[in-house]
Amino acid sequence: MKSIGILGTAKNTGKTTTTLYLLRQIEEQGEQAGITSIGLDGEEHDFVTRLPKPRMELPCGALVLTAERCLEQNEAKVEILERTGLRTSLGELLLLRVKESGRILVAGPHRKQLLEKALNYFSRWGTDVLLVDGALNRAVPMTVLDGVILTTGAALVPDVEGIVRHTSAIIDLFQLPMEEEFTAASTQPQVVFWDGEKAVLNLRSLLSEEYLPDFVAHINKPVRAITLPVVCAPKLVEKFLKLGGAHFTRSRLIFSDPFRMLAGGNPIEWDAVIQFHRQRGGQVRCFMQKPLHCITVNPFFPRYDPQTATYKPDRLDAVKLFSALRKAAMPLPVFDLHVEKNVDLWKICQGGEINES
Amino acid sequence: MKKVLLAALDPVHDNAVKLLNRKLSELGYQTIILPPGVHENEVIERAIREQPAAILISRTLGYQVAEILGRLVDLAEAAGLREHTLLGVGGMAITRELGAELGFDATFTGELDIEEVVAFIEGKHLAENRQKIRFRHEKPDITGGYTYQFKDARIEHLLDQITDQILEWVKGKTTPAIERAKIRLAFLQEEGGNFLDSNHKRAGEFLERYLKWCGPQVQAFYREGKLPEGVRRLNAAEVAKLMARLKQMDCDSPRLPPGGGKPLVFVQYGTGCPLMDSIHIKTVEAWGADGVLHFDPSWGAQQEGLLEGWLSHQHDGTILTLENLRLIRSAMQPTTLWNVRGHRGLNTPEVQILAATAGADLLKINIPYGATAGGSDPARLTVDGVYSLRLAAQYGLPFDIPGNDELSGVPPYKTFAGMLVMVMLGLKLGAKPIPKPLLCYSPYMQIEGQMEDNYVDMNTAKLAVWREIVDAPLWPGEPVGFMTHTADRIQSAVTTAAHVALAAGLGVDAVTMASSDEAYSKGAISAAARVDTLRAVRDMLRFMGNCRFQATPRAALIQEQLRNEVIAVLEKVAQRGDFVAAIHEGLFGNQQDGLYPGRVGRDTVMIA
Repeated sequence: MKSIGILGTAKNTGKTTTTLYLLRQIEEQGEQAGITSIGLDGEEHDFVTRLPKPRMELPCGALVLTAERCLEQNEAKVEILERTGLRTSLGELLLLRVKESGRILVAGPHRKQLLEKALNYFSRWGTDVLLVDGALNRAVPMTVLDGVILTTGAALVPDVEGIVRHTSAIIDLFQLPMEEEFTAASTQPQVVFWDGEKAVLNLRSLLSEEYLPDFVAHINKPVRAITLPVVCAPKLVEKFLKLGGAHFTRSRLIFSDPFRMLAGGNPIEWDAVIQFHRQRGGQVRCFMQKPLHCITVNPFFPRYDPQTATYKPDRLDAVKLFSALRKAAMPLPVFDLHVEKNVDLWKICQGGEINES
Repeated sequence: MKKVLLAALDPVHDNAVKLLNRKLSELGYQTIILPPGVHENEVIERAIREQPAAILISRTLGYQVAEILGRLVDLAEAAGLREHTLLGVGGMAITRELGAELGFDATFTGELDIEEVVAFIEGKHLAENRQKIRFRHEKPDITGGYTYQFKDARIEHLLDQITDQILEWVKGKTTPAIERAKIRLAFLQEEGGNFLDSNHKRAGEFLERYLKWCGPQVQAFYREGKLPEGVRRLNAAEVAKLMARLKQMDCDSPRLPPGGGKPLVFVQYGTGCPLMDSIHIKTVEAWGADGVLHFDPSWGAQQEGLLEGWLSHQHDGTILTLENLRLIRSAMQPTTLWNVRGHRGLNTPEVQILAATAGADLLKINIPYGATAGGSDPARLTVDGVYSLRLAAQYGLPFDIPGNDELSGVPPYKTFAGMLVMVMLGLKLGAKPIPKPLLCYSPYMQIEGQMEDNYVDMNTAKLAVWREIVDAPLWPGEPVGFMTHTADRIQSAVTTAAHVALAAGLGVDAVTMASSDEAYSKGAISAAARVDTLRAVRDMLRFMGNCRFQATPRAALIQEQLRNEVIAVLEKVAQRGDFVAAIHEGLFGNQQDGLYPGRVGRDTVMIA
């Protein structure tokens, strides 16, 4: 079974549209599709802007993992295959098979542990491809999946340059090389000096300045590598590097994975840290990486109208946005699925070449 | 005990976490409370250090909610906390959908429910349509604990005289309603069900006997299938679909008086459609009502005989058929008390039978009121009423005695005199009466200027005089605050709530309230308006707690005056020696009071 996460840089960037696009292609290939979400998808209106959202209309035969309370708003005919015993705030997660196509509200496993267990359920029922729709500002559960698609667009920030900068920073995180020499010996950070000595830092996160002085106190000679398998705030990493001064020149920073990095802070801040360190001859690696298959872009954004105190749909220049992002992301493929109807997204996720339409 | 980390991810609003802190500490939890405006990084840092069993977050302000809370959840996951720490969220900015999208393990909405929070912390699952706490374990007996001893010997003696005369007078008399009631009861006892669809081999025979005592409209219904204007049959599919849906709406809500206790709160219904009624009933149950009262259309009371089947009526009042009543009863929670109105008109005895068969808990019978403002012929209703009281006694169902003739302009002492007659009559026949003095701003009060300063003195006096006369339950209705409402829903909710609170402070056993758009409804009564009033009542009772309204010394003077005037009326009735004639002659309310003896059913009393 292959699992793909659809990760959004913000709400309304097209996660559900991308998911459904891919789902249609999987179905056309005759593969058994499964779908779930780490958030809540398929609602009729955005619960912040009240603007209409794309509905999760699932084809006959698809397997869905959703919370029991979502069935109250179900329009598709479904068969309950299994009650999983996995609990969410909307009730127990049920594995369903769609018997007659229709709209479904999908609220699936909301954390990593549950998503891991959910993979087993889908696999047991013969799923070939599992699509996991993402949720706002959350990425960490997707570490258990095989790969991700990133959706971005004007809803992140209604400015082409801003979108490109932010999205490029995320792409860079997913393109950090995997570490091959050092291993995460423990769950705590470890410093390896050039003279062969090692030190384990009693630190379970780097989210607060409070621990920086103790941390820096250990850096008393040139560092060869420092493993940071904990959640870190990028600005604190930068501060730490600056406090360590020359000892960090040409050293290797090794983080756990891009998802944990994103949880720790803004990708643009991470970009600044990475560039700072590279400029001093340093390297940045990750213990774990996941394939970022492609990017989809959505020029739509909700514009707030203060006069009516409501949100109204608006759009950036789609062509300008698309070409700027495509250029910045190259060679990673970028698509606007509202315009491009024949993208072989499924082939791309399998590692195939881009189907230029 | 487990450790709980509390944080308001909000610049200023932290009342919820402070309240949680107190309540959880009282229960023995070790709580760590962070100051408002704390950053999500700080929450996670602290949680990494403390390793709590749960992190409870509140957020009130509505901007950046998703961004901040989503980030917190992802941080918690990235920090490895979610393997052993639960995440819960609540606050004004939070909905269940948002909580699910953000990935919290639980979302708390509405009023703080500490039981729900504790269950969450302990990892215990409360069922989806859970009964939080069983607030209502059984149906209360409104008459329980009352001796019905008369405390006023003079009044007791007068009532004794009057009711002896009534019982003597009705001997050997019958009416078409009584004959129909006997046939209906016999058919039901043979498990006949309804006349038209029954498989009972004698259904046709029973029906013919029944129709002999029915009026032309009812005969046309049974013989030709002719429905009255504005009435349609409900089909089985629509009934089944809605009833299945309604069953999912059961919820056990807390009672309106804080901490339970008196009074029981009833709501009247009668939209015309039993399915719509069921929705209204589910709504009021969800908002704390203890019971409901069925109101039927007035035209139904004016024709001899009752219809049958699931019938929906376009205008006010839901038609009394056994099928409609059973349908409505099936929608109710088992603990909801149910009163069916049948105190006037030509079908009173049969209504008691159908109501009891369908599962009613209370009946409604008042001869003086029904025979005047209710429009029924006094002789007819006296015979029917006494028979109905015997039925109530047989069924063991209490009956209430409405005092709504005050709304015609009758002074309260005359209304009370009539109600007292019904109390004594009921007791003599083995039934359990519940007087319902009306807390209202009646025409009499307005004309006489009796309630110019406040509504408290007169209503206090009314209830006090009853307490002075007899040890019986008291149930002001229908509804409290009558004629103090306007078309303004907020004003109506407020005045209703004030009257309920006044009555509650005076220790009444139950009250009936209407929806806040009912008194001046220019269209259908809305469920939303019902909720308005129930919420207002809840808050008012919460406001008052164990406090009471303080009447002025004038209330005591009014009370004494009422008592004396009640005695004066009863003396006249006793002296007259003829209860029916007393009604005709206006002793319980005359033309000047705006009351006329009823005419429906005139000359229909027969010798048995």
